[in-house]
Amino acid sequence: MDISGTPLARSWGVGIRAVGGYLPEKVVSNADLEEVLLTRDEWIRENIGVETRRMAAEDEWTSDLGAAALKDACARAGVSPSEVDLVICGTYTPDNMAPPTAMRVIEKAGAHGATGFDVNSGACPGGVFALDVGAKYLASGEYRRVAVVLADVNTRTMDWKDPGPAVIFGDGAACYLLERCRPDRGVGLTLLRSDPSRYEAVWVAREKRTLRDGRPLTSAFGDNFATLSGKAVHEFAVGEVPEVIEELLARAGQDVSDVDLFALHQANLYIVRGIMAALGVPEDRTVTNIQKYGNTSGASVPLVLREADDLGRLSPGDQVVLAAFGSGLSIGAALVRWCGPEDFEAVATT
Amino acid sequence: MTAVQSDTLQALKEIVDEVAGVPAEDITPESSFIDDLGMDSLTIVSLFVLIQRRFGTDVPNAVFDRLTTVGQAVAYLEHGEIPA
Repeated sequence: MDISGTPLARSWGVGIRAVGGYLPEKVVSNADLEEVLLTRDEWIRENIGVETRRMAAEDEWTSDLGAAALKDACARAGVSPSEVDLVICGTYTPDNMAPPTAMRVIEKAGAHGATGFDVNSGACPGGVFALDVGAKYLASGEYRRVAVVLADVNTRTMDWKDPGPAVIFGDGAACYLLERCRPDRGVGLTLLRSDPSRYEAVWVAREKRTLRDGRPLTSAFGDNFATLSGKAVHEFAVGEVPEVIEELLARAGQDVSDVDLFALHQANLYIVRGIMAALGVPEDRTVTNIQKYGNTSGASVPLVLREADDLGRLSPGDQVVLAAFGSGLSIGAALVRWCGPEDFEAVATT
Repeated sequence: MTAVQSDTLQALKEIVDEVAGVPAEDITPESSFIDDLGMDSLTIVSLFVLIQRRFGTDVPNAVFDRLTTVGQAVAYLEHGEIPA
């Protein structure tokens, strides 16, 4: 059953004014992981595609990463963080269970006067789910500049005896800075899909774990541990994400050949390649960064956009597909008509 | 079965228990790592990393992909050959 409605008409679009990013300084190679895990560099490269990942410093938490990404986005846009109206932080690794991590992002970034809250859409899907929340707030007309921050300290959820998640994830943050743009540009049709029947395919399990000698094993989040079935995630991602992307394009009256760039969640290099192959699209129409950063959960899609922008792979008017997927299991896909600076200057922002 | 073979099998059982949590009494030479012992590809990597550390024998990824049972791994460790 299709229960989708029709978006309300409005005279402005929701443009991505800038994408900010922040990666912690500490680089952890596969060889470094061989020191603490029973794994192999060669196997990780051949099966996951990760070569290095970043790890937050001991005194760095989600809000530190998120605030840095927000400041970076504002610097790229040439605005002050104090000119942001609303901060939405997409995270599953909050600094504390309450208040929202967005509070500390606002404080640390100097986004004085902004209001904020967190969105937990299951880590990796946040790259589109949280963006959709921010886009709809901007579309409401009540907010003029919205910062959607995706930040997670994924490595703090690790059970360092379980190599599955530990070889995949890295820490990082990104920020979409949203502003009004001309109505035919910006964030367009967005599809969100969830299947709770596969709740435990990739999740943060809350359970008591022990070392072989019986001593308690904890992560930085206590009895919470990132847990995943690589096979289930691979089948889901390569099997279902292309279908959702094709549905998105069909609903928008577009074809995969119309898309200039696919910004896909960096779950695994071979999943990204599998999705591109299933769509029948050459790999030169995507950008990957999992080799350098690992899977940064919600930040991965905006970090791909940021990298694509830095590489000169994004031009005003380009058609871009964003697809974020994972824990839920959930998939979010959005069609974005990329904006240039003139697309924002064309509409009033006061 | 010779004493050397028994030692290798016993050591392998201990390693499987360590990386996959399967008790030694549930492991036989015929046990398949994936189908019988419930190991996934990452756990099998861990198994052969631990084998390398304990036995000093490097089993390349391309080789252990072809060692699907405990008995085949024992044979490779003892004779350096992949059983037919």
